[in-house]
Amino acid sequence: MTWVNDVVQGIFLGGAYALTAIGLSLMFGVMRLVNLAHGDLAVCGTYLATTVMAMFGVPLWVALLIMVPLAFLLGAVLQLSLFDRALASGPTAPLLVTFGLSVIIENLLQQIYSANTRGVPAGNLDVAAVHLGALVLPWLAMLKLILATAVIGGLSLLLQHTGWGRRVRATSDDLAIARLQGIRVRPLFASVTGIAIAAAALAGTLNAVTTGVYPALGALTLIFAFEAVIIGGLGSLWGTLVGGMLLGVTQVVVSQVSVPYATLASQLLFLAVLAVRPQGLFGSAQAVGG
Amino acid sequence: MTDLILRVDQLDAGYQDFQALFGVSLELAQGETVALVGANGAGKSTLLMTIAGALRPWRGQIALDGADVTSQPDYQRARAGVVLVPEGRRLFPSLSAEENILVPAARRQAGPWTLDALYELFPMIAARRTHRAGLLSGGEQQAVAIARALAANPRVLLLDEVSLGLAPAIVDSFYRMLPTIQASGVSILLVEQDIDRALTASARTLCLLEGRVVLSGESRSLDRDELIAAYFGAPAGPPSPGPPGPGPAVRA
Repeated sequence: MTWVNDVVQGIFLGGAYALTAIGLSLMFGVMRLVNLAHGDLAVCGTYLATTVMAMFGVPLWVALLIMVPLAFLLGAVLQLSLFDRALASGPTAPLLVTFGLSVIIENLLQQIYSANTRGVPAGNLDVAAVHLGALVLPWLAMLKLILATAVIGGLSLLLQHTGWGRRVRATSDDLAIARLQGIRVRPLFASVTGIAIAAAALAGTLNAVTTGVYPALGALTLIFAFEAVIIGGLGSLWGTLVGGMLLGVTQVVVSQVSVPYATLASQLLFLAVLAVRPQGLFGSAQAVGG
Repeated sequence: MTDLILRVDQLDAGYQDFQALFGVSLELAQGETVALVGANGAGKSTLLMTIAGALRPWRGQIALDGADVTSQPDYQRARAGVVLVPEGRRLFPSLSAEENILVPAARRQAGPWTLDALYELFPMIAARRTHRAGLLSGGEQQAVAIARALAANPRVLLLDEVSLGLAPAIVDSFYRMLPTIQASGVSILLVEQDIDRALTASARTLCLLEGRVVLSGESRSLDRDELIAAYFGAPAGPPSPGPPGPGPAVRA
């Protein structure tokens, strides 16, 4: 029964990884933009949420209601001011620009908030759990998994069944022709990056309830998000969820045997997928979709 | 010419340091079909891309309905009614046939080309509307490409080598539709490598050679031999009007 519980905990952890990684997957799928500042932007959202809580004395969920729209806005502004130009300047420019942004964010956060770990107060949300026999179902972990599924499901519906989604998929297929058919790409890309950063900031904040937050957390966040995306297949949103779950399950199950090997095991899983199926489990010619 | 829709004046255009068009001018009236012929690399596709706004000209002017649109970006030009059916069709492969048609339709001008009207014109797409565009046959893809452009209710339809890689019977069926499209008030500028098709389908024909208009006139009174000479740049009587060739052929 312990191992069943381990797998369940791993799946929950995977939900957290996936929620963080959705934005990375979406931005790559639509714009072929690898955002190396993705983790740092998630951390930014966390600090923003804690600041809102401290300033107005509001609980976490209210802070999230304020922070998530701001994160969307931040993403949209970054796309319009920085990423659009980087994308227009050749394939290496986005990597350099987002890497630079990552360094800037990390150092800014250190200047403003110091390098110390900060907690995200969430009442008893971080310890509350449902016990079903030997099975432990933590509320926070379930919430993250539900949110990840809801965000991915909602995005898939939007992409498949709305005019916005059709324009996003068309642009992902062929940018030049999309423009020639009357699609204005700038606001479209801004909305995509807005969604990506909002989801990352939400995930980052919920994760920080358990782990706390510190300025250098972004790099670690990015690695796991990146691995979830690659394992699942670039551009496949449901693949990202499965990728996150595989990472999570591997990590939790191995940590029962040996904690130090848990992180190594998930990196080995990542390398194994790269070696055997480099396009990822659900990677296909279709760049973005369900 | 009374109802002038499109006016291209002294256009120079090219890629980086390579000039593909030299002082090209043309006019298109409401409901008129003009054919553009020329060998590979003559600059036909470059001209269409420039008119559609994908390529910013170096010099010269493009006017739509008397308004200068030369510096208007491509997506605005499409919404204003200049729509390209690109060479090689270039559908959105992961979208269904119907979704391809609906992409520009969201921002279209008012006009006759509703989804129903398009399915009536192209019954073969109606049957395959839910199929992924990337999996359709060449003829079906070409039909979707034309329908996608018409869905925007364009004033000017730019057709780039509709016949490329298709069986002659299918190409014939497309050319039989042109009068219907034209009758809805759409002006058509079509690029065609087959001189005979070009001459039958159009009111006027322009021949491009190495980026220059070397011959133009009413399609029914153009001398076929003279046109062929202009097409290949062979000295048919007077020497070739073009300058020494610009080296390797331009990607048409």
